[in-house]
Amino acid sequence: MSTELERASAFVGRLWENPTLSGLSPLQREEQLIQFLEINNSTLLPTLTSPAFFPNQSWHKIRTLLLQALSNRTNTALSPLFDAVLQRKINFHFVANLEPKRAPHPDRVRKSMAQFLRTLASRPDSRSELTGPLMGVGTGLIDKYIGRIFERQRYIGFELRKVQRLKLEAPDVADLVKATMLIRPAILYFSPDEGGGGHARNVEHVSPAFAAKAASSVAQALPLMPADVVSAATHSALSFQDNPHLECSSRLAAVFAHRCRHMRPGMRVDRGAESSDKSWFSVARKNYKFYGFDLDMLVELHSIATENGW
Amino acid sequence: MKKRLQSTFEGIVTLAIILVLLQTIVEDLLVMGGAPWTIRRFFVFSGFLFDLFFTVEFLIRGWNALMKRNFSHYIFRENGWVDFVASVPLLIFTSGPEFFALLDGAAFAGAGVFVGLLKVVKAVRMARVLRLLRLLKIFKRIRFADSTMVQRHTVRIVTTATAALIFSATVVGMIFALAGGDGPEEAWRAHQEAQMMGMFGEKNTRTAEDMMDWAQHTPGVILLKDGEDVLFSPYEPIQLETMFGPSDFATERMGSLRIWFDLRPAAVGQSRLNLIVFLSSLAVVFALMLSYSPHFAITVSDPVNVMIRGMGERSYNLEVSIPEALAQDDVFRLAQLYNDEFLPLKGRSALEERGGQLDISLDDIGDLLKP
Repeated sequence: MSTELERASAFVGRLWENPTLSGLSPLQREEQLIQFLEINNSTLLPTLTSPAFFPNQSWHKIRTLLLQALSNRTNTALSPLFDAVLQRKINFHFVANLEPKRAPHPDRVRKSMAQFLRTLASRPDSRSELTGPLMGVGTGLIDKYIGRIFERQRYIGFELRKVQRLKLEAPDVADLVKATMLIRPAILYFSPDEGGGGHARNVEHVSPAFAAKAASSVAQALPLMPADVVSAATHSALSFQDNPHLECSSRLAAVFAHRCRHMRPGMRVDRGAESSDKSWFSVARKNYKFYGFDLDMLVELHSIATENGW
Repeated sequence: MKKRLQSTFEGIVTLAIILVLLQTIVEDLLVMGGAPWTIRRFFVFSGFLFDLFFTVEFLIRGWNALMKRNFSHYIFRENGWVDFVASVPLLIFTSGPEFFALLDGAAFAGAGVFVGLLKVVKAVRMARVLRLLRLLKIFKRIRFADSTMVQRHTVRIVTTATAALIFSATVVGMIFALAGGDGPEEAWRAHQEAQMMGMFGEKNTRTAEDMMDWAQHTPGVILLKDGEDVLFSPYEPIQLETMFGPSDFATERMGSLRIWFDLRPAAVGQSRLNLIVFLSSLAVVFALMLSYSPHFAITVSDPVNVMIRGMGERSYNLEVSIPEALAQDDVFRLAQLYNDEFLPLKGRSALEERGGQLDISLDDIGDLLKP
């Protein structure tokens, strides 16, 4: 490692440990720090070009060094996170239950998924988009909502079981939604680079044709994953307003991925404020057209959050 | 260094306030319990020292404020008037004269017309209730709420209510004592005086036995002397010395006869009133702290703080909780707009800025930029 990269690593390491970032996932930290460096470049530049840091270097060079160091740091934390999430937070038995004839062993599916996640993490767009899914799966948020959805047997339960016709138990449905969420960033991985210069983009609404194209690419990368799950994952980038026949699991994956993108687990709720989930679903209800969400789904999720004080 | 000195000074003042409140309560309880003068004497000294201390404290604070040209701010905004009322008048009219009279070995109120003297003593004792205003000083020092606004509003309302209670008790009590009709104690004394006049008006016709018999059957007579001869006393000389202080008795002279009357019952009534006012003030303070402070927090400062954070911090997106019953309050109508308009706009704006919810700022990295 060059001296300059070592210095960049040391600088990034101290930023990484900043207390204001505590409680954030590695990807959330990375996103925060990238934005921080971009926003404050003019303020940071005089100090960073001083002899103690990177003398006689251009901002472009310094930025490249810092982003590389940041990426290395994030990767160090990300790899065990992928393994932990896939080992402990998701069970791939649902794949066999969905396709009893093929019934691949869950460990094989897990391994292929781990590899796929690493692939997604290799591009800034899809890597950034993994933030929400990893947080959602890692914190158990999906499990608790799916559990309540099945207990209530209202709109979402009906959509899952009667409309999408999932013949699965609640835990399997939760795992299916989690897998859908984890695959969802692929829509950005397989989208052409628009010259963002390394800037991460969000999943925004794509056309059904592009979603289908992305689905075929994902299917090649994840051959053990059922085609319905893959297509649901890519469909999660479609707007429900324009595509009212989207799978319920797609709609759920989109909502939960957005919900968890900036979530801070264990965040203290101030006196006089609504709980975190309740607030988020309430705001999302008002912005449902903007996000392309299913309003009825948001109403039910808001209701669940209210009932449970989430 | 200056800050440390100031903090030590504030600590001493707080401790003194606690002690003086305890001193006031204990002094009144001792008076009510008929404690001997040897014990109560200590409280006269300590009362004077406390009043002196708080007068000096007021003068220091006042001088300090004067030097900074914000004396009126200190008096009206920082409750400097409480500092003043709870110190200077007490030192001048109550504990000071009491203390110096004690040094002189004289009765604090001095000799005078019997019933009139009682009125003055009662009026001056009434002024002691002002000491309870120090309760407000300690209340002001307690950080009982996170929000400065809650703290300030609660202090204001507690100060207003408690000061009104203490002032009205003091002023009305003094007016009644000085200008009002005679109370039961004064009426009783007047009756005694009349009896005494009837008994000793023609003293030459009365024998020593008659006088002793009268004194024996008249409650409140603690000593009857003819010249230097003690004709009657229900107490031993040593008891008279230890149980009665200079302000516990009044004397009346009729020729060679001298009669000492017990004034302590009047002080008992006053002490009872002091305790009632003190406990009522405490009840007002606690009731307002327990009911008004949380009420203010819930209905005003909490929703405002949530909105401030939501508007100031990019990653803070919690809605304000709006109680159904208070939905029409101005604050909650504003909160409704914040929930319905501001937060959705903020959410859309964050998405358009590509996830621009930054928690870390340059201020957070502190000395990181120092080589």
